[in-house]
Amino acid sequence: MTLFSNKSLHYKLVSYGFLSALVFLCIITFVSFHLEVNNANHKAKVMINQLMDTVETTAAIAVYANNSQIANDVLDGLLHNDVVHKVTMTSDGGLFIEKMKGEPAKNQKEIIRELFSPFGEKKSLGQLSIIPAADFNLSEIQHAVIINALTALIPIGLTLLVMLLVTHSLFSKPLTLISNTLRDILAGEQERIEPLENNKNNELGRLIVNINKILDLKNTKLSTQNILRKRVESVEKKLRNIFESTSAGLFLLDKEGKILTCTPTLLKILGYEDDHLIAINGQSFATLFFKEPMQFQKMMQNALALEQLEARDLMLHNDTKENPLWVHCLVSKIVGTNGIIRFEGVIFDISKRVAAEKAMHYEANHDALTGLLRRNAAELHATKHLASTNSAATILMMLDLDGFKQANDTYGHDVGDIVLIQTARRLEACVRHNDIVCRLGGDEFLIILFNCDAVSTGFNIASNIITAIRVPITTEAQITVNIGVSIGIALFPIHGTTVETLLKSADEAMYEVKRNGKNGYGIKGKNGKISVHRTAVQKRDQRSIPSY
Amino acid sequence: MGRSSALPNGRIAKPINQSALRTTFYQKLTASSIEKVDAYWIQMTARGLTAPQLLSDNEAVLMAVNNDTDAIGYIDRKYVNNHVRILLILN
Repeated sequence: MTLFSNKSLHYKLVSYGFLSALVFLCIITFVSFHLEVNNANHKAKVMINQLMDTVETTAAIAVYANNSQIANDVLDGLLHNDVVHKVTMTSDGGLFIEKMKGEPAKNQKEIIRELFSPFGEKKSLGQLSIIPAADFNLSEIQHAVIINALTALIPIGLTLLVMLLVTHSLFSKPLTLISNTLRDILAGEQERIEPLENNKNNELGRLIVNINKILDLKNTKLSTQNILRKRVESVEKKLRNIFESTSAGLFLLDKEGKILTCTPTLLKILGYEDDHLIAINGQSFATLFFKEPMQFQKMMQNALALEQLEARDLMLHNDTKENPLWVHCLVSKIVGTNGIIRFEGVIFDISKRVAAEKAMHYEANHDALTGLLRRNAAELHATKHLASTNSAATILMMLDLDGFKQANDTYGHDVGDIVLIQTARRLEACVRHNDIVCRLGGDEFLIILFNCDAVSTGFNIASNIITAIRVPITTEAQITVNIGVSIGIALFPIHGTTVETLLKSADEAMYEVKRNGKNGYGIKGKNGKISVHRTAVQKRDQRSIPSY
Repeated sequence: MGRSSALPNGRIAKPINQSALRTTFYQKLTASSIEKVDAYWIQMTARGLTAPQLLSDNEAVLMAVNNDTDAIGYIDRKYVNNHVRILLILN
C-alpha cells in the first residue's frame, strides 16, 4: 500500500477514487463482455443463417444429386467465412461430408438447415449444419471491450487529475497553511490565523473563525491560570516559610513509624544538620532519635488504638547528664482520603525547661550552701523507705555541731559557712554510698542509714563521724577552727515506727550527749534512760553502751 | 435428372433430350421452369457430369431409343410403337 503512505489528503482522495474507478470499470467490463458475447452469438447466428440462405440452392442441388463435388464446393465456400468453424452436409442418399477449421469451439450451438429438392418437392433430402467459430466471436468481443474500457479510462483519469489539482488547491493547501500557522502560534500569544482570501464563507473560513475563537478562549484561560498559579505560588511560599521557620518540629510518619517528611527545625531540635534531611527519610523515627524508643512506639500504639492526641516528654538519644536533651512530643493518627493511616506529630525542645525544672527541684530539695538534702526531702525519703518492705534495720542520727556558734561569732559567717561545707563533705565521706546526709538547719544535721543489719555498723559510723569532725578546719585565711559533734541515735522500729517519733527519740538522745560533755553519741535504752558514748580522744565515759 | 444413372437391369442409362418437347417435358416432370432445369444442368456439367444428348424431334429420339437398349428418352405419345417400352406417361 505504498500508494497510501503519502500523507497528503488529496493524494489519498485521488488514490481511492482511482481504485474505485478501476473496480467499477472491471465490473462494467465484465458485464459488457457477457453482453457482447451474447450479442456476438446472436450476430453469428444471423450471419450463418444469411450464409446458409446464400448457398442453399447449390447445397440443395448437391443433396438432390448426391453430388459430393458440389457439396465440397459449397462447404469449402462456407469455411472461408471467419464466422464458420465446422460445416457438415448429409443427404438421404448417403452423402456425408464434414469440414472444419481452427480451434474446437465450445458452447457453440450447431445451426441446422433442412435441404429440399430444388424442383419444388416439399420433402427434406438432407441437412446442412454449421457450428460458429468461437474465436471469431471472442476476438471481436475482446477488442470491443478493450476499446470500451480504454475509452472509459481516459476521462476517468483526466477527471481524477483535475480532482487532484482542485483538492490540492482548495483543501490541502489552505489546511496546510492553517496547520503551519497554528504550529507557529505560541501559547498565550495574541497572534491569530489570517482569514483565507477565497475561503471566507465556506467551511474552511468557519474553521479558521472557530480556531481563532478557541485560541482567544485559551488565552483567557491561560492568563487566569497564570494569576491563579502566582497566587498558589505565593501561598505556597508563605506556607513553606512557616514550615521551614517554625520553632515546632513537624513530622509525618507512615503506619510503621518510618519518617515520610519533617521540617528542618525538627532536625535542628534533634541535633541533625539540614543535609541529613534526605538520608533520614524512611528510617524509624523512634529508634533514630529517642533514648527509649519503646516510649514513642507506645505513644503511636495509643494514638492508633485510642484515636486521640498523645503527649509525652521524651529523652533524646544523645542526652547526657551535663547536657540533658528533652523534647515534648505530640503524636496523632491521621487517615488520608485514600484510607492510608499515617502519624503526624510535633516536637518542642524542652531541654531548657527540663533543665530549669531539674535545677528548681534540686534547689527545693537541697541546701544551697552544703548541697545536702533539706529536711523535707530527707523526711520524705525516710518516710518512703520506712513504708517499704526492706525498712528493718534503719538508723536515724541527729547531729549538732559543738563549738560552731562560737566559731561563727568569732570569725564571721564566711568562716562559719566554710565550716558547714567542710562538715558536710566529711559527713558524706563517713557514711555509705546509699545513706542519706541532710542539713536540718543551722548546725544541725540528720543522717539516715539504711540496711544496718548490725547495730554496731551505726555506732562505728557515729564514731568515725566524731573523729572526722574533730579534725581542725583551716581556712584559706589560715584560720584554724576546732569543732565537735553530738550525735543522738534512734533505731527503727525500736524507738518509733514513724520518722517523727524516731526524730524525737534521736533528738532527746542528742541533747543528753550535749549535757554530758558533747563529742559523743547517745541512744535511749530499754528503760528509757539514755546512754552516752564519748570518743576515745577524751576521757572515756564510764557508762556502758546498751546492747540491742 | 441425374440423381440416378443406372437402369433397373444395372446397365448405365443413356438419357436423350428432345429440343421440341424439352420445355413441356420438364414442366410436366418437375413443375419447374426450363431456366431452373438449365441452371441445374449447368451446375452438373460444370462438375464433369455429361448432360443428356439433345436430338431434334420425336422421330430422332424414337430411332435412338430403338437402336440402343440403354437409351432412355421422351416423345409425344402419338409416335410410340412396339419397339420401345413405356416407363412413364405424363399428361
